[in-house]
Amino acid sequence: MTIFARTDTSIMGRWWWTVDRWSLALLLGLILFGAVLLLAASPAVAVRLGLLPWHFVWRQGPLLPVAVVGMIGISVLPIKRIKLMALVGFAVFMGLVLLTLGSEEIKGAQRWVTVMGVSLQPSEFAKPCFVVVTAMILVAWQAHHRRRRLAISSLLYGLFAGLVMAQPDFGQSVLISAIWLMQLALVGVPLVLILGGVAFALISAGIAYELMPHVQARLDGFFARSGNHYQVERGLEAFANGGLFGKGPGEGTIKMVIPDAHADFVFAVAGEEFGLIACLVLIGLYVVILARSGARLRKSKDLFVVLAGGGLLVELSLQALVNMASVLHLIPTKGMTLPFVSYGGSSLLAMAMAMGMMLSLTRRNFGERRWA
Amino acid sequence: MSLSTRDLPAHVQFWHKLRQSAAWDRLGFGAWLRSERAPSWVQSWGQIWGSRRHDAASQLPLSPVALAHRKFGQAMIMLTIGFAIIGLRLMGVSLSSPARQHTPVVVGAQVKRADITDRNGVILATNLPMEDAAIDPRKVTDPVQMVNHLATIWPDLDMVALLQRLASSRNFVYVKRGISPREAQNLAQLNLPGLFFLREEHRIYPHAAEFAHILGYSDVDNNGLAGIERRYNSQLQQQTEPLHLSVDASIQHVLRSELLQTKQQLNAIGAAGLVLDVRTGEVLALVSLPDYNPNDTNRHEGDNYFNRVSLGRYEMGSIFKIFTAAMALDNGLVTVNSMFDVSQALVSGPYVIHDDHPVNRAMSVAEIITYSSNIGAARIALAAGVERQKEFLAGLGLLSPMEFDLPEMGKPEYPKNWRMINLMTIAYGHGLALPPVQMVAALAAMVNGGILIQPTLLYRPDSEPIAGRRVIKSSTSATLRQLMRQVVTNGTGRFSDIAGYDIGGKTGTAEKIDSHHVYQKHRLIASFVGAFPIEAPRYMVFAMIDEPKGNEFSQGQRSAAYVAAPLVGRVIARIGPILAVPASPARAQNVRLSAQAIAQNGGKNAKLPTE
Repeated sequence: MTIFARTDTSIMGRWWWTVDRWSLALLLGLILFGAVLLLAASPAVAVRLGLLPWHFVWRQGPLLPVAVVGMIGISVLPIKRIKLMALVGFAVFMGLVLLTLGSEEIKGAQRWVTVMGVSLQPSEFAKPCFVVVTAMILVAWQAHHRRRRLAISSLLYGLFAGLVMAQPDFGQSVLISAIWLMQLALVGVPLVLILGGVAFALISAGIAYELMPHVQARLDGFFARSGNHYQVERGLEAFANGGLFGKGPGEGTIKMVIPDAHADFVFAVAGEEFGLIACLVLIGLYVVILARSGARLRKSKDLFVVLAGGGLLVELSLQALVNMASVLHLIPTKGMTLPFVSYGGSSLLAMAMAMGMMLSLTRRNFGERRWA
Repeated sequence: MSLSTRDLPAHVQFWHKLRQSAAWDRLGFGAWLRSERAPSWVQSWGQIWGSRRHDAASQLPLSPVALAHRKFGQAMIMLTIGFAIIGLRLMGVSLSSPARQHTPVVVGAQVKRADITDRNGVILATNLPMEDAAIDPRKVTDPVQMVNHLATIWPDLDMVALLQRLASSRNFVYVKRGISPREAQNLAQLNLPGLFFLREEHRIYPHAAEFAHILGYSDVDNNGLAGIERRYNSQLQQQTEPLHLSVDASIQHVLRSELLQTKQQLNAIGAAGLVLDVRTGEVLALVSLPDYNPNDTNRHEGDNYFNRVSLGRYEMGSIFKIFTAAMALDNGLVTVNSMFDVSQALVSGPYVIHDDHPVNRAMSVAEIITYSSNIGAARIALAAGVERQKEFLAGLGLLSPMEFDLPEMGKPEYPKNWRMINLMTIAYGHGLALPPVQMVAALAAMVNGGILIQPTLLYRPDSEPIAGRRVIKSSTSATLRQLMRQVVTNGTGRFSDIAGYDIGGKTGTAEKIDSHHVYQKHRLIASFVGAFPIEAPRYMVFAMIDEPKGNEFSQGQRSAAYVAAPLVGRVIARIGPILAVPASPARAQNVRLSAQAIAQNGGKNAKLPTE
């Protein structure tokens, strides 16, 4: 690794020697994995929708380098800038989330908003910003104002989760709640309060079940093991067909029948075409990123870094977990993407932003006495 | 004040003792976890889970950062366990044998859909390989010439729209989907640059509109969108053997052609009909007009996608008098000879109930049914009372939605507040609206000996036991059959009387309600239900004409007696022999005659030969 000399004190030179190169490499590996699966799964879906075979590839492909550059670009920023970016970003994207509530429905929800001709899903971008802003709040009032910090953070959480819930995006609000509760646990909020929060979440889930038809259908589909869980059944077949080594790239047939093969169910396509071993490698990538970045975070002396970085890392891991668990029929389908692998521009770019922030937070900054 | 461990709850004491015991340490769960002897990963585990908010060594409270480290470590471990569960589940799923899964049959890129057949195996829906013609506009050199060429082959092509689409920046434009391989071959020989073909399986309905409202249709992506195709969508997607329906293609054809003819002759807005096996509940034919061609589902004209038999809800008129009579007879309130005064119009508050042909005397129950007296039916109902009527109709399943094999199913509509006037009007079929198929199912129970059977569109093998529920006594059913026979021999159903089969039936002429809930004298629903052979009925035929106009084909009349009764008579004369129902002995010699007479009359019904 001699791209940059140790003595190189330019921005990129310093970045190279301070950034967590292992995590960076693993994240790039994930993006590569996603690119391969995009080529494998999306043409069949595009043809089924009456589009040209390479429709999704043309739409997603150009975003991959954008994501890589964006992630690296953000990871170069100092922590101060990350905080600023999160604050501004949260305000802007929350505004856009508000706008989505008046927009048209796609797949039973209003999640998209069109900005300068590009339609994006602002809640995806608001998520990492929310994580960082929450960390800032929890640190800012840490010493003698525990109630205040809890109140302010709860207020912000209620606003964000409420808006996401209103879209309605049940899966996303569960994810946001889980990350937020984890961050509270990190600053020592007693378990009783957190369990209370979980109970509250369960009650809201009950209300969601009653009020949102698509949540109801999904839960019913999961528990009744009948009805509309066609995709899940086909997904499980895909893994069985793939076996240990898979049927080979492009040889899968399940992608012809699963409507969301390129998006939420891309893991099933991986299982069929590349087999169990490749899927385990994919899981391994997530685990190693978690372990590696987590270990670095646990050495940081800066509480903000632990809270924000930890939150972002949990966002990545939990989203991957939820997606894979629903494809494997361990939990009801949530409409959540597999980070960096599923088709979807907003999800890719937002996740790149989140990981860029995390890489920035896990950099070894020798100038500041933050590292043991 | 110091707390002794004895003040603690029992389970806490237990854990406390356990953790302090030598055995615990020897097992390696105590200090060893955090000792130097343990491997490093065990040590960090011990650090993470060892104690809560205090440092294990110094017993000092943890700093906020150290606490966060510890808690985050716990979160990481839980997430890792989650990933491990995913990995295990993945192995379980991936290494299970794919054989037990039902893999859909894949032909090329398109999934097959199971055929649908009638009760005799006649194919009603199947798949054929077809080509989709598409254009890549970027490769088209001369769009105008191309469109001209295509228009010579498809004169109905919308040339302007296609030119516009070719001019757009899209790189893929469908010209026509589902063309035959031969057509594609001819087109390919034109060598038009940019034109190409995609082979796909297409759903074909060989009988076109004939079974439209039964089968429904499915889209190009193999999803059933209506009818049987929708109701049994997943089954059709998964199974390979055909779906076996109870309908009979020849009976369906007879019913539909007769309904079509009458609808046209009488300039009606719609028509509906049903043939039901009263012993098994199997539907042999189901027709709703107007209908549509499921091979071409783009054409929506008026209400041609509306199923009048199952989705439409109508007040069925005097046919309901059968239920009124059944209720009174079965409860022992009347006999067929009980007399009711029908000389005076019946007044209830602001409402007045008339008869179409007033009679200035008392009538027996038999006469009330035979000549269809509204006043008489209302008086019978008054003898029974609201509660008994409600209970009886509910027992026939007429007050709750019926399970049926079509997703297009209407729910019965009846007054929430069932008052005296409702009691009287429902007695002759006004005030309660329901899908005709639901009423016919209940009528079948009136003639088959009193057993209510769930109607079905699926074939019922003889071996399969029929689930039914007794709703009236067998003796009541026998009496009703006699009454219905009298309607045909002496009453309003005379024009359904044919040689060969003894039909028993009942007419029903109902006035339609306009949007302001006002009954309209000239917008009628004329229907007739006939069962044959009435001594021991096998089949029930129902026909309904929606807003007939009286003209020379119906002797200037628009009531059921002139519109629907003869229609059902003709249908029975034609389907009886097909269904191999033995003709009534005394009239056997007339069967041929009757068929000839029908052919000569060309549907005019006034002069049917009778005994």
